[in-house]
Amino acid sequence: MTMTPNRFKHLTEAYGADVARWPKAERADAAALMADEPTILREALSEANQLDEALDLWRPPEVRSALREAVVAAAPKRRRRTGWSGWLAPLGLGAGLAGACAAGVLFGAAGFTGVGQTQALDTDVITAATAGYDNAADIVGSGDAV
Amino acid sequence: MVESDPDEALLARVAEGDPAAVRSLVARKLPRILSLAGRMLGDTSAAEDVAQEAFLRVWKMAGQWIPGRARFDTWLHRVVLNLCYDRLRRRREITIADPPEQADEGADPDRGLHAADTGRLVGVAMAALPERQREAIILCHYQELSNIDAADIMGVSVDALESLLARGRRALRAALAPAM
Repeated sequence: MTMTPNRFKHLTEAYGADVARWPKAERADAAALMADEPTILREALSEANQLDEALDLWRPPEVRSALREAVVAAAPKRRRRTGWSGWLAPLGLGAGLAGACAAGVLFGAAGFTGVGQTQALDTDVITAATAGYDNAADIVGSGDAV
Repeated sequence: MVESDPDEALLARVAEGDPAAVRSLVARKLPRILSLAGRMLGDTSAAEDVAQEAFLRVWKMAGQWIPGRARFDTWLHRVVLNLCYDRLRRRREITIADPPEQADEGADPDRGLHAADTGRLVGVAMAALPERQREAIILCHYQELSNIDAADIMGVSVDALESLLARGRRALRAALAPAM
């Protein structure tokens, strides 16, 4: 749209004096016109600015902390892992003990329940127990943070 | 497709239940939607209810959000406006003897009594505007949405939006002339 003094005035009437609220595509042409005809257009801007300033005095409601907390409380929660690594870490067991227990329990469980159920157990802990205690500590420790 | 959406990454983390993302999204959007509802309804308590309800929809939708289809902020504004219009409709159905409570301007000592009074007058003048003019001014002036987003949310053309804005501002100028 070509920028004319009439269009400029219409924009001030619709969007006010703050050019940041004007249609992006027309801002540069409006600035060029303002440079050419500052006197007439300044009057339109000044009138719009008076109304803008009055509108800005209408303050919105403040966010109460009780509202903020209620909104946060209703948000989706992260699901905790429920495998071995999920409950071993909070017990505060040392890395060696955790790894050794996990390995012992798992091998026992495999003996009683067969292969199908063993596969359902936490594979991270199986890997850690067979690979070494240090790795077990990393994996057990990380389980709680997932 | 829409331009890149600054809220999309945060929304994906919300869907995973990331508590820091939840707090960030609430910090970013709650004041914004409370302002929108507060100004649409002129009633802080009703606005808080709307804000809570809108966030329930956000939490429900976060995992199903399809990136690139719409801007989250635009979607959220539409949700809040629909909730506001539901309430305004119900309010109209009940005969109101007294005008609704106006949003609390929260007196600021630096602004003085005159500023607080003018703020209250603006609230009253805005409440007296036809709904669509009020909505257009709230979206463009207070929510600082682009004309394209505001027109999209209202389901009108940009020309129609500009007409609503100009008529609304003219009416406000007349109503507020003694205070300006």
